[in-house]
Amino acid sequence: MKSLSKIFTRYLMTALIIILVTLFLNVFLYIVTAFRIIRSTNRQVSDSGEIAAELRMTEGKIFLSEKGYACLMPDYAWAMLLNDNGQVIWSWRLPNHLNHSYTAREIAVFSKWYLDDYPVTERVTDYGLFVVASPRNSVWKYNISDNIAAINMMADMIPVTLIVNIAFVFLLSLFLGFLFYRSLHTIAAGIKCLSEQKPIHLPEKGMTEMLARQLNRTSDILTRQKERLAQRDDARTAWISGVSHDIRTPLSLIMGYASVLKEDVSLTEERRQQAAIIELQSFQIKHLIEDLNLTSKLEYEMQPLRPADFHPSVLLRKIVSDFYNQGLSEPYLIELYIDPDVEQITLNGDTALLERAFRNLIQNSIRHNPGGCTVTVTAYPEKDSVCFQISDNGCGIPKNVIQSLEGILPDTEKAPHIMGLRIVWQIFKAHGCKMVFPDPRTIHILYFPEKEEDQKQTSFFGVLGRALFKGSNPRKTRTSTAESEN
Amino acid sequence: MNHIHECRILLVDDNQDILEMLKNILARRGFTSIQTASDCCTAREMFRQYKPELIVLDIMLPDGDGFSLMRDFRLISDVPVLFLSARDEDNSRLFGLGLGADDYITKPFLPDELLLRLTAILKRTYFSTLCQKAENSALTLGSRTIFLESGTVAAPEETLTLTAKELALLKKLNENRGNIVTFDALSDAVWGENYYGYENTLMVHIRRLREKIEENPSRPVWLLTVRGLGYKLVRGGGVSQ
Repeated sequence: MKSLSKIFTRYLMTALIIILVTLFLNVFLYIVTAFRIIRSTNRQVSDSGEIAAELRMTEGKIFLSEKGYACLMPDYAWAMLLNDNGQVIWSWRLPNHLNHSYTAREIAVFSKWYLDDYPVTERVTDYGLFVVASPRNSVWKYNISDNIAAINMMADMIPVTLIVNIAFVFLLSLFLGFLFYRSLHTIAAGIKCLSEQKPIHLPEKGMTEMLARQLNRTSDILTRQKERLAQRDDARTAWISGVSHDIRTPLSLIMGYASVLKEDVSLTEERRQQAAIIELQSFQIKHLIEDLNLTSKLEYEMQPLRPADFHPSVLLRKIVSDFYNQGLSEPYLIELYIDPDVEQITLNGDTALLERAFRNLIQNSIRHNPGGCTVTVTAYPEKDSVCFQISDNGCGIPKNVIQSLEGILPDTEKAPHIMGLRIVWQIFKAHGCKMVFPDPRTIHILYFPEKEEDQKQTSFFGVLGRALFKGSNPRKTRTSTAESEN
Repeated sequence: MNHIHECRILLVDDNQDILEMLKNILARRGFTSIQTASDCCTAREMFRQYKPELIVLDIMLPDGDGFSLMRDFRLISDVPVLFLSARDEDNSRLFGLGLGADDYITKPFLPDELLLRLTAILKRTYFSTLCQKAENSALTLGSRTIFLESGTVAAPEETLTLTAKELALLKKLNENRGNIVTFDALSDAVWGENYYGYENTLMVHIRRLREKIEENPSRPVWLLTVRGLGYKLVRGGGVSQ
């Protein structure tokens, strides 16, 4: 759901950025266009005024200066000067059909619109009304007249309209975001279920129809594959279980009669020794069968864990005491160090399996160091977890064993036979522990206490709240703190 | 029945070889009254006729299962039952014990282990007065004798009285004599499950106990501290009836 919140935040941010960019773009275009128009309009007006100023009268005759003609030539079609009676008293390139006197009504019309489709501009001079025409279809003339109150209101309305527009677009984005979120929420929930290996069937409608269809299909494929794998694993475990079950009864007979023969005084000492060897080896086979069963069940997650709260310090003391009570021989020493903070810690786990795992690790140190060694068992708190350390001053664990456990070494026939250690690895893995080997003589087990599933707020408004007030997310803050501590 | 070896034992298993072997092992250890059955029907018949004092019961039988058979036995008798089965799943083990079985051993098994467990059940069931006597016996530690029943210590010059907690500690240590008893097990014996916070109090009680049972409490020879683990009551001396 965190990613969904991220997507929604980005969606809202994108909408806001689009609004702002559009706004700035519009303002920019308006400024550029207005500037260009003002510039071009000023030039024309200025030019017609300049031309009008170049009109001269000498001896009652009107003429235009050279400069005036130079201005007229490039831009204008014709020009004329009307006296107060509307008669043409001077003209330049004036078409014949326009060379006549103009009534006040005609002057009023063309001054507002066009004269024979020529856009004309008028200037009042000392000699009369100077009329200059641009070429046809070169200038668009439009007269605006409106109520002054409406014009004033328009000035006030521009910022209001702008704000209303922005608010509308934002709310629209929010609404569309809500629709998008609702569709994505279903998809996200489906993906979460898939990641937890749960089958899904999402409604195939709306904007995420295709996605939902693909996810449903993926779920079906995964379910089928899971079923096939489960069937295969079941068959394999059942086979191992069956074989080991069938071995149990004959092995009981072997062990039983070996025990009888071992104590039979009518036999020679040598024969009784041989019977004792048979009994001992049968005992080894018994353990191997048990290990084989357990490892296959742990491998395929068929070993039901019986979790219970326990104090790690109590468990470790019991295990170490048991070793001594069962007769730990002289060259071996087991030292136990428990940090005072660990004494009060309660963990959750299958104590029978955990006891077996710890016992196996200590036993390994003893078995692989026939000359004797000191095994040190330590427990100390480590951030949110408890770290167990089992080390010895003996020969250490071979590199290929560690590689095989960590999956670095390919699982071939040449791989070392380490069923006991593999079971330990599997037991800790089943408890969510992390087992690491900082050096060949030391094993670290990081035991993470079971964390309660975060009750995250997944409603739209919850996500919206987090999107808008990202800093107030306590989980995020906590993670940041943890990271900073690193 | 004067002796444990006189107990009537019924062995139920579908495998004739296992039955023969068990019979052989038990007979070698002195058990004199052993009967066998290889199916539920025979077992029910033997139960009626023979009235066994302990049943060693397999689970998978040709005409039924050991669990049902045990339920039937339990309806009319409290005879101790020890399951001996190739089924090693926790569920089976828990189910069997849940039905009221006294023990559950999985095949393959060590004959000695079977005999020890079987003997323990018989002792507990039919010879508990003997066990009680053993519990109430006197404990000798060097020149001092501790009477566990009365909670008194007979020292050469005086008689000391043990407090209830000191007596509980000593009984627990005596039950595991020669073995390390962890702080946790001792605290549990004295204060029950919620013993956290009593570590220092435990040390005080041990010190006081030493003052009563040791000749030189600062150099204890009977009640020893095992660093980081717990305490141990060393073997030696003896238990007199």
